[in-house]
Amino acid sequence: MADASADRGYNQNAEQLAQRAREWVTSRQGQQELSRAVQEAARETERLRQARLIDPKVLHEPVTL
Amino acid sequence: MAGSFEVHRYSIDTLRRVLAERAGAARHVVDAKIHSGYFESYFRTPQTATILIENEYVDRDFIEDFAAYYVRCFHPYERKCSRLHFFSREFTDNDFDALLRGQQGSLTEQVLRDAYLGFIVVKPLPQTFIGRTCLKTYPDDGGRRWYPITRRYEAHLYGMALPIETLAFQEQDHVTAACATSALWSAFHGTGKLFQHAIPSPVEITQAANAILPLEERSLPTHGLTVQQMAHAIRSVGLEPFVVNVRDEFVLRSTLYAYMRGRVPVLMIVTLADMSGASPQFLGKHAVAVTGYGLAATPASPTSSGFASQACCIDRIYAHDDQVGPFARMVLDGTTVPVLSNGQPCNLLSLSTSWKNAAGTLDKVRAIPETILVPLYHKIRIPFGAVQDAVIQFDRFLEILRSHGLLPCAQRLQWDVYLTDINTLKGDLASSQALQGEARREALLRSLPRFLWRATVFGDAKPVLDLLFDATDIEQGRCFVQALEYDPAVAGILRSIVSVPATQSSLQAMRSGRFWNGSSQQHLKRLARPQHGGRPNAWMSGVQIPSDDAVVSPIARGGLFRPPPHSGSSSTR
Repeated sequence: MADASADRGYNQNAEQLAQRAREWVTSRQGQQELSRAVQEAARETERLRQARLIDPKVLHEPVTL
Repeated sequence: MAGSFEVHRYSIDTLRRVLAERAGAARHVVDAKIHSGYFESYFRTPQTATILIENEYVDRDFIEDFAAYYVRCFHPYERKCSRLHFFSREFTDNDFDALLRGQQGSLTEQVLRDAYLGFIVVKPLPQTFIGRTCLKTYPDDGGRRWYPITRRYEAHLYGMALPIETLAFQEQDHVTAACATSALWSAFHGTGKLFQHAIPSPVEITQAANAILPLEERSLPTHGLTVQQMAHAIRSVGLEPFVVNVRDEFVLRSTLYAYMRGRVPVLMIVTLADMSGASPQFLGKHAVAVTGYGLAATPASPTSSGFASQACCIDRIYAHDDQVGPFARMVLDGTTVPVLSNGQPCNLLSLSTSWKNAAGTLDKVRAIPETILVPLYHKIRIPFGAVQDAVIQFDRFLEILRSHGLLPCAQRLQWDVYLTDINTLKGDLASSQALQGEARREALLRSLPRFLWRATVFGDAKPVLDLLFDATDIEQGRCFVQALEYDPAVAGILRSIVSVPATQSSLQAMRSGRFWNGSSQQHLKRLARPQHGGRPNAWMSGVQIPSDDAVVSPIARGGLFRPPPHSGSSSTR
């Protein structure tokens, strides 16, 4: 019984969050922040892409120790 | 047959004496080897009590090396080795002899099995005598130490099978094998079992690598391999080499973790630097096979975006370093090595080693990680980096919601991204309580590719979502296969907002166009539907759910689960 009550409370809270989230993503501030987040993610993944690149000359250096 | 075996009470002095006698090496050579110190430390922890020496042992790997090189030397090298077996239980020659005679006594085959710690093959060579070595790993220390590359070996001792879970190690002999060869040989012991290929001996690896040998160098004795030659040796066993630059700390941690968690051994090429002087003295390049990792309780956070992943908890790796020993510890302790790069001073990430410098001092030689080489089954086509980029972008999207209090998670979401296979995945799902009812049934019945990238996101230490990517597809394809929802509240919130055009346009702007651009839209559209049977949860009422999606099959319509992106047959390879 207590579990069912907790579930109801959790679901109500989630429903409220969902409603707030929909309002926020359609707001001017939400759109600006989403756009900025996308740009930041792009910069991060580009940095990682560059970091993973192999310098072809290391392929020919002897591993001797 | 008298003289076939000997039993000694263990002490490090006895071990060193036996190694010197069996190898025909000078005692000071044995004492000076880093391996001696390594074994002293290693055999102390499992309380080693007894050494049993198996004389006249024919080792398959050494006999290949012998046939290719040593037999044609003027000096009459022995072709038979000795094998030293280690036990945590004390017994004597007489006890073991009685066991062989079938007499009742305190020493039984089961007692030997329970006390077995592994073996070292001693090659009859004066300097480089540590042959095939299989030693039991340390305990996992409550989930801190991970050895995902180990496999089962069985040592057969006069009719008794002694199983051990480990990965074989051996020292380079500087003739048929260099460090890169030994690292490859250990890695092939892992991949041979995992991907079902023959495991070549050291000399066979050297010969395969030297198929593209520069003309000015000779094949045997070998003076080392290049990364390109190592890659060629990997191709020779039917696997595909995958090379990544790992100078970046986050790339190193996350890439090692992603493949090793999938039980794929990783070869790491490092530059060794002696730090005992005022400025680092670079000793040269060295190769090790990375065979395990240690996880700290708290993760480091090396990305600028704050992306948090389980891989960031790696604070040490365990490597088969042929100059040190099996599962040798290399710690990511934050120490950097100052260098000049294009004339500009910079500090490079480094790991501790167990190497001694020229003066014989420990703890002065650092390893600067340069490159990793991953031997992959040919069908594992999607590189980890592509999946990681997609996940980082999706994480940024989730984080912006969470930081505004729009997701019910107090702490930053944490990701666990790694390679897996269909059987391991379904085994995890079947043994876990995270999915229940219809969702669990659908996940278990679903046809999936053999290899998958799995990205599990945790909120406040509880699983929230699992994103599955087809590792066998092409990057331009639709690698994203499926999302498993563990937290209905988070999934519901995502469903509710992705139907908003503003969200969709933001996601379209995510620039990982290789496969996430399309599939993120598809994933979020899938999230935008109520789960299972088209019945929305109570809290979903009033949330607009788009109905247009021509690719959703009738079976999956209304649910998160959809047919696999390509023909739907379960892979059997």
